Amino acid sequence: MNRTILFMVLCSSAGFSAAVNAGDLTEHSSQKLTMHFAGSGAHTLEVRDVEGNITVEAYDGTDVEMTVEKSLSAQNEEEMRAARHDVVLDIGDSASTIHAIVRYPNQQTCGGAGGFTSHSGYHARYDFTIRLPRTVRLQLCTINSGVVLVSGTTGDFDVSNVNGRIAMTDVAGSGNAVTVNGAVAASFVSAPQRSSTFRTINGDVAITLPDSTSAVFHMKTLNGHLLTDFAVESEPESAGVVRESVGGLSMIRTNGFTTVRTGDGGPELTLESLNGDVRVMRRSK
Amino acid sequence: MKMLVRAISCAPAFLLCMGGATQENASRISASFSDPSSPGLLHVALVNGSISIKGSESRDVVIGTRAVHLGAPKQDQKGPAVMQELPQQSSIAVVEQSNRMSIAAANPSITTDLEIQVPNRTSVQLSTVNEGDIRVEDFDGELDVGSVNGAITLSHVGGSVLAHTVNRPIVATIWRVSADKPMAFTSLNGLVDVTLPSATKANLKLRTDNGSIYTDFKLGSLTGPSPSAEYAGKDGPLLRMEIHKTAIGTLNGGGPEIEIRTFNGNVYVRKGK
Amino acid sequence: MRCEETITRFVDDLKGSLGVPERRELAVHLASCPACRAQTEGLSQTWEQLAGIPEVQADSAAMRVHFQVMLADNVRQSARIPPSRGCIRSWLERHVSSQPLLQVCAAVLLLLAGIELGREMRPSGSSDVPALSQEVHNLQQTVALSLMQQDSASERLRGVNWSNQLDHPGNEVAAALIGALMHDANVNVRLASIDALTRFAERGVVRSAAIQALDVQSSPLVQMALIDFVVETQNRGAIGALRRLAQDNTVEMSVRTRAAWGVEHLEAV
Repeated sequence: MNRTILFMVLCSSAGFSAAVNAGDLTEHSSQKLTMHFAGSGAHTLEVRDVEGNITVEAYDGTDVEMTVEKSLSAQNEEEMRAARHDVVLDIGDSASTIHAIVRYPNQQTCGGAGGFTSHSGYHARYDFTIRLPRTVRLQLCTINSGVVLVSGTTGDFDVSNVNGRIAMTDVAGSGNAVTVNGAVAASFVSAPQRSSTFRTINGDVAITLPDSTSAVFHMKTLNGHLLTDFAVESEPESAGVVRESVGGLSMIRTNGFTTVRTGDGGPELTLESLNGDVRVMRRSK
Repeated sequence: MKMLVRAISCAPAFLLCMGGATQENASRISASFSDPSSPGLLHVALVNGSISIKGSESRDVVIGTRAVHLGAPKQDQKGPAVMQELPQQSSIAVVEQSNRMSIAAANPSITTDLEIQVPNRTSVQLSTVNEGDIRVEDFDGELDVGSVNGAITLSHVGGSVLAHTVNRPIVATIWRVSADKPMAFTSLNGLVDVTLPSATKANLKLRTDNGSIYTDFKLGSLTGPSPSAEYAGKDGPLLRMEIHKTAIGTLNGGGPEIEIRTFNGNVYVRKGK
Repeated sequence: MRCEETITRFVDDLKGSLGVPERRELAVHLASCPACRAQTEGLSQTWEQLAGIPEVQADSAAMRVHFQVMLADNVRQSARIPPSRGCIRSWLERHVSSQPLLQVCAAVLLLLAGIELGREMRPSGSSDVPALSQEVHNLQQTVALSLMQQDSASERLRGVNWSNQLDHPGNEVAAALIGALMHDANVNVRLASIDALTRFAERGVVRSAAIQALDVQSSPLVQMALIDFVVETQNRGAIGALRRLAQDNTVEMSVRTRAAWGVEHLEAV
């Protein structure tokens, strides 16, 4: 009993968030890298994870400082060997893009078409903590057991999660933040200048924008409320109509967004949930 | 991964994702009958929401969803701010085959107010339940309209009308009556007020259980209690009949049957031009 | 020429047995009488439809079959059930077998219809009804019945109203009206059918149908009219159904009150 408790304490202190069964083998390692962009064009950070957090924080430097906490857990020694061998972290920098991609054998990486099936005998968790220059564009993707946290960046973003939330704090730029099970929260120091999407299935969507924002919000939820404290006006434009024709039968569908405008209108921000509220809030000073 | 997510969120509207989205303004959609030169049938049914119809000489059906009504701000449950709740829109589906068109709301629990322009000479069937006023204006064609908790207002319509509601009034001004078609206007708890062209030939069947019948037509072959003293209506004298049974009489010699009936409320049959 | 003669003359014309001066008279009359015009328009449409039906002999067995087909078609179409090629027995099995009361009704209906039809077709010595008039009567009845099968509620209402004008409506008319009451999708058509059934109120099938409708109809307008109908026709068999309505809290308040009044009224009779 005591040994089990001690074991579990050790495991949790090493930072596991995945469920650990008694008898699991675990292994932990940590890696710190500093990477550089080259070239003068737009710089992009691409992180594709499977299991684990991605935490990105902007700073006023030129390098990318990346800490990777790798945690393997397996049912037995053989599985542990497989975990060590199969899962590869592919890190590289090639001029304008720095990437860190978790690769499983015979599988797509996060974001690839066709989905992902996890191996049952082991878990390979990678938690990324990254400091990077403010203007870098973000391509962040994870699937299980992780959250994506972004703060202070101003570059455009494409953030994707499945079983976990997304939180972006004090950011700028345009892009998409989409997850399935988890909230999407984003607070902007300056409003997106181009069309952006914030979407989840199960969870609230909440974005905060400067008071002076001029934009069009397309808001939709099935089970939840649409809320804002911006002064808005109803806007007849809506996000799309689909026409379908099969034999002699034709069908037209609208897609049920509530569209409102704040200020003089502007970039189209789409906020959508299925089971959750959608909030657009003014950034209080 | 993104494809998977997109597929999940699109699952309820699979076709939506397969088709291409256009930048058409979704608050006004244009739909056409397979054969626009033949009269079509339009069927609109809502559980929550109202329907307004306007007749037009155009061949297309144009469907608009009324601008969202923005509610009053109130304290947000989950935060410090005072937030305004925005009303949700249901997505609308329009289906057409062989000149039969049907419009419905995808999410019946969201109140959807439809404003539809309909070609004259279309046969129109409307049905509403809650928050379901039905308004038809300047339309010439066949109307079959019914509501449970909605008022029915037909302004300057021509053709034939079947109308029923349960808890609200029916007010209709008819400028032209189809020669050989019967009409019916019935309510349970609401007044029924119908204006017919003065030259209408019809067999009127008028009834109210708790209320009075008023008319300024001279009814021929009247069966039922005789009209009592004249009553001054706002546009001139109306004959008033205090009865609780059916009054049957002819207009201008008789013709197809027009039934105007309620249980709790007055019946008004007015002579139009 | 008077309006009453129009139909007779018109049928002759359709059969091609009208003389030239009479045809001229008919044309002149029709030009000035919109009501007659309306009647003859409907008739000529139906005449074309009837041209498709094989010549019917004054044979009660054949008439019974014809009626059964018409009855099945009428009720099936009013209920918007896709027509099947099966005979009336399979129709009955599908729609009636679970409701014994309706089964009995249907069986009695068919029996009565057969007897009535046979009776109507036998020439009666006392009445001077010429064979032509009988044919016209059947035609008018067919018109009313065929109108009641139409897609348009307005046409079906017209059919119910036409049936009111028939002088000696046969049992198939009562059956079609009961069908409209039970199955028509339009409230106004159902209301009109109740009024039209007043003429048949003494018939057992109609009284039973009214009781069943009380339990089944959900439109408050129709419920009200049914309550009044059973009270006016002193249908004491309806007391149970009226009590159920009065106590059903999913029913409109004014309907419940009326149903309670109906119970009191019928018990006092």
